[in-house]
Amino acid sequence: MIGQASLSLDQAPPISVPFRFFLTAPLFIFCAGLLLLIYGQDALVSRWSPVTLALTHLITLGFLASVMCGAVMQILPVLAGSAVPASLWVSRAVHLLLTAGVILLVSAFLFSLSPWMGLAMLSLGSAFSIFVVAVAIALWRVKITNETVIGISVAIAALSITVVLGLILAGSFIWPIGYGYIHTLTDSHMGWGVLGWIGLLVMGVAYQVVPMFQMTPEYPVWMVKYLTRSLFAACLLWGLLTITHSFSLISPLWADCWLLLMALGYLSFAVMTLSVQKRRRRRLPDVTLKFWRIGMFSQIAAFVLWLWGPFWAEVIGEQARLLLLGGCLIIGFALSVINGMLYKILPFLSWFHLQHRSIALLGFGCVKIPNMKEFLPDRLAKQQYIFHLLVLTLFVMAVLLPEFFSRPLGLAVCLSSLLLEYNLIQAVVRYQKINSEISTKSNAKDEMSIAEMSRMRGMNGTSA
Amino acid sequence: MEFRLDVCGLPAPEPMELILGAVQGLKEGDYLKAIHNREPFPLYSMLNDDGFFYHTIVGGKAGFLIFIWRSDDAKAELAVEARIEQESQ
Repeated sequence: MIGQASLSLDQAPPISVPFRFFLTAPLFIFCAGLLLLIYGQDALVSRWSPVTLALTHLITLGFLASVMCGAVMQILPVLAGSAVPASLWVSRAVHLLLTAGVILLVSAFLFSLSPWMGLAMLSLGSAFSIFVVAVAIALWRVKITNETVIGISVAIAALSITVVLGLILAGSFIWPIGYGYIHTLTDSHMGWGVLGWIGLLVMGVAYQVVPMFQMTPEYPVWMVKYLTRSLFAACLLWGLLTITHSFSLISPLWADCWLLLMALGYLSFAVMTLSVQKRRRRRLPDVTLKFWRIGMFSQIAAFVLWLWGPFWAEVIGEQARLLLLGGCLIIGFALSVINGMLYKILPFLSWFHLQHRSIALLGFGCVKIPNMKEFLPDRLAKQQYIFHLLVLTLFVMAVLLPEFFSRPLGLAVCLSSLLLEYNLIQAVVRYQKINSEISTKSNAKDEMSIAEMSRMRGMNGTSA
Repeated sequence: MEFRLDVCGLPAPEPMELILGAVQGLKEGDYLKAIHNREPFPLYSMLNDDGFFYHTIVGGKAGFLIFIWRSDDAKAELAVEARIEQESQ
């Protein structure tokens, strides 16, 4: 027999693994919108304001980390053929600890509660430790290493560094350390989080999912082969230069020059993504593609805001420039790309699980599995995309004129997240409907088999 | 008999749908040679559950050649073995 071993339905993570992360993630964005509605312009005064820190972590940990944790646990078996061990228990523990940790952290920021910060550290530290160990085991077991596996591996390493830096910073909330160190640590924490964890993961996954779902040509081989790992190595060196500078051993120019090289690497990825998307083979309207485009243009905008920093600081003020820079990276790039990917990942996983279960229980073709667009119609995704555009526009206006646009931005964020949640629930409901149909048909098939066996036994008895 | 199916460049999950549909028509001694530009890991378990064996060759112009035949078809398995030997030469 020359057939290979494959991932059985029992080994593949249950659909509840990603669903639990995907369905809670938009609720954190909704909370971020509520904060903007309550605090208004106070939420956008400076990157150091407690409300801004709470807002940032609702997006980065509550939404981005949640979706990424759920997606990585499901994507590994699909793209690399290796499942996370005890995926159901790991996902339950990570989801519970991450959700509790985000709530505790945000409360600690808003109400200056030191004991809550301690609990948040414990909760988030445990959540990410479990996640990193479980994913590392799955990565270790991968038989054929491809660039996506490398992308996920370096992103997980970057996540670990981000979490350690975050825990040190959270610790400084309880045991204060000097402002100079806080500043360096915060920049490193944000750098590792955005450029390392989010940037490298998006890059690694993009090499597979952009051509796979958006019908584009493949990324060039040099980029796929070298960019992700080079950028990770560059991140390590940048970290080292930053630490050396914080002890006043070298000029800050070294770290800045090195960051420029890294920024050019990320810029080349953004430009290449826009280029392959322009050359896509099927020119059908696709909402995910639009979300990705916004993400890539935001990355370019962030580069412009960073490179010509003094110019922009003079035009709009330094605090506004820093808020815009962070917004371009976290909201414009990361949130847009992840939001767009949800519209592909969730229907694809629904299709895969239903098709798999239907084949295992009934055989191919016994139940009609809806196509991806039937799980999540374009019409619904487009409506949310318009609200997302509104969020981005209002964000820029709110940074420039916080007293007028902070609360309208909060309202737009609430509406966009509610619409996303509604769309995801629609897909899950559709999944459950077809899943019940498979169960009903499978039960009927079993009953028929039992009845047939009983009839045969009866016939045997008569003839004897 | 060999049946050939090129699913390169189709958006997910169309390649898997086409392959799963195509193998249903395989008769004794028949096998499917699917040409794909990426390794379809999720397809493998579905093929096994549906009563098929497969063998994947990494390489070629597209990237991956996947041979699929019915698990109870010894004649097709022999034909695939011969074909794989030919492909690897």
